[in-house]
Amino acid sequence: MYRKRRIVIDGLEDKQGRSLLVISALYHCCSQLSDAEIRFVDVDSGAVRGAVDLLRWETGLDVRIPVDLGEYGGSSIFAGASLYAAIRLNSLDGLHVAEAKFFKVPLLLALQFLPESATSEHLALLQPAHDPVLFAQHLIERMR
Amino acid sequence: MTERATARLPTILAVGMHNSVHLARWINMMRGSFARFVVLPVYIENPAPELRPWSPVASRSDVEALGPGEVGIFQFTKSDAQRHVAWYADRAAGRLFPSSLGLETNPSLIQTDELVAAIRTLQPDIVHTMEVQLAGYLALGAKRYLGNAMPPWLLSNWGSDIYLYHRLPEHRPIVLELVQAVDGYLAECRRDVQLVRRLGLKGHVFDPMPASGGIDFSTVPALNRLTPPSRRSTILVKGYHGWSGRGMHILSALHLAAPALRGHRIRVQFCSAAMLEMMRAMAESDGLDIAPVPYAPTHEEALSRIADARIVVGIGISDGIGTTLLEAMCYGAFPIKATTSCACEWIRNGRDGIIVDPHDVKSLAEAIVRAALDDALVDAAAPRNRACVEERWDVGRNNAAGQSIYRHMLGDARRAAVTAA
Repeated sequence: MYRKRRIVIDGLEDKQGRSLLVISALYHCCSQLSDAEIRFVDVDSGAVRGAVDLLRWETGLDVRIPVDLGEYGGSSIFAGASLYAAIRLNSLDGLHVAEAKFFKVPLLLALQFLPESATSEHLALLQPAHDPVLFAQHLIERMR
Repeated sequence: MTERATARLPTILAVGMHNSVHLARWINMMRGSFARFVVLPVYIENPAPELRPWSPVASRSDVEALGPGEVGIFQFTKSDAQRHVAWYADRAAGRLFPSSLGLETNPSLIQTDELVAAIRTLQPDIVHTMEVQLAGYLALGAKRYLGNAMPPWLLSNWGSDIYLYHRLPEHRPIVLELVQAVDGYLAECRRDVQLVRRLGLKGHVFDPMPASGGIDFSTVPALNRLTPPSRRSTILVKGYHGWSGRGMHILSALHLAAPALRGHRIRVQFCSAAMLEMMRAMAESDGLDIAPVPYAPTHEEALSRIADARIVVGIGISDGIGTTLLEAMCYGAFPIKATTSCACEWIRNGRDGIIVDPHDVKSLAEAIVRAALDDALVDAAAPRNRACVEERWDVGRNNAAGQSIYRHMLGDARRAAVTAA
């Protein structure tokens, strides 16, 4: 049975979370995501809910915020996912990195400013963490 | 004015956010000899100081006692406790309108039965709702109840009220019902006129006008008394970040453009704690002179900041004209706005200002750098922009247009009364 590829996106928008920037990135790659289901997790703001509604209306993407994770058969939303993506200010704390790794989900986790323990991955994603066009390119590459 | 002439004046019930400077500006533009204005607040708050002088009104005789130019503010009789009880009952019954993105529905919002009672008591000739999601939805509730007994209803569409909300699933059915229920429609943007026609508007459409009405240009210094834009070094950022504003995107653009902006002062208005955290990180890593500015206590102070700015940047996913755009055009600051506003109806992109996709941060960075470095561009834009707002945002011109709108609505009311008789 055909199943859409699932992208899980960090929906936090606060001092650390930058989900509105990820939403902007999705506008730049929507034509390449027509076969994907995009799900935002950890959303706690009306601004992100509104922006997700608007993204769906404007692009036709299958994008939403799951109300009930039971729709994943009692399993994790990460089971079978193709990507876990996030932009954060300078820390990955609070992201579901361990869970995503457990299910062998590829990661695209960009930081806008380097932490003390920066990796080459962090360095490579510094610009995309501010530039939605670049982040969209990385997102599509990681999906391949 | 004679007592007899005063008694014949039509009454306009303005429903809206009475603490808003935009509502106050509109009322101040229109108050005078041709009609009486009574403001019906949409929530419990203190009125904007700019609305003075005003008098409390609770009855038709209070309205008739208003002096020339004096505005009434309707006084509700429901207690807070009664309002809470009614609100929870409406919520339990699913009778509440959906919340706007910026304000959760709550018991301090005025309820439909209160507007219905005010209309029955005051017998206004026109109900004018200023803004859609609070005032417009409230009046829609009243119209559902009053039916043909509802006075002619003029809807002012502020900013992105319909442009954004008709695309949100929870709001779309309400917006569709509302545009088909109003008798007159006044938008800020031509964009929205086309949109509401597509959505099924049946009422009269008036020529678009800024929600704030207009300003008295005799109080605005001539451009040659201000520092030329090319000699100003401040980049003023509208830092709203939330349901529409994308202040964080602007900060990211400034970060990308940092090497070209080190000689400039960047000042950010309306900062949240998250914006402050981001700015601290930028100041540390980018060497930028970037700092928040506190909320301006007076409008004059807010305007003086714009007059000091070379560039004013405001980006969002949905907007109308944006009063900051008009103020920037008044004071010679070069505007940078998003394609999701109707700035293109006021400025030519790349010449009088720059209009960018709100989702394209790199293009925004390039626009900021261009405006920061190109002296000829910002100096040439200033007089063109000033001439444009002097023509289209002038209080005298727009007062006449406003009177014409109200007279048209009153004419419709009289025709309807004759037909009914």
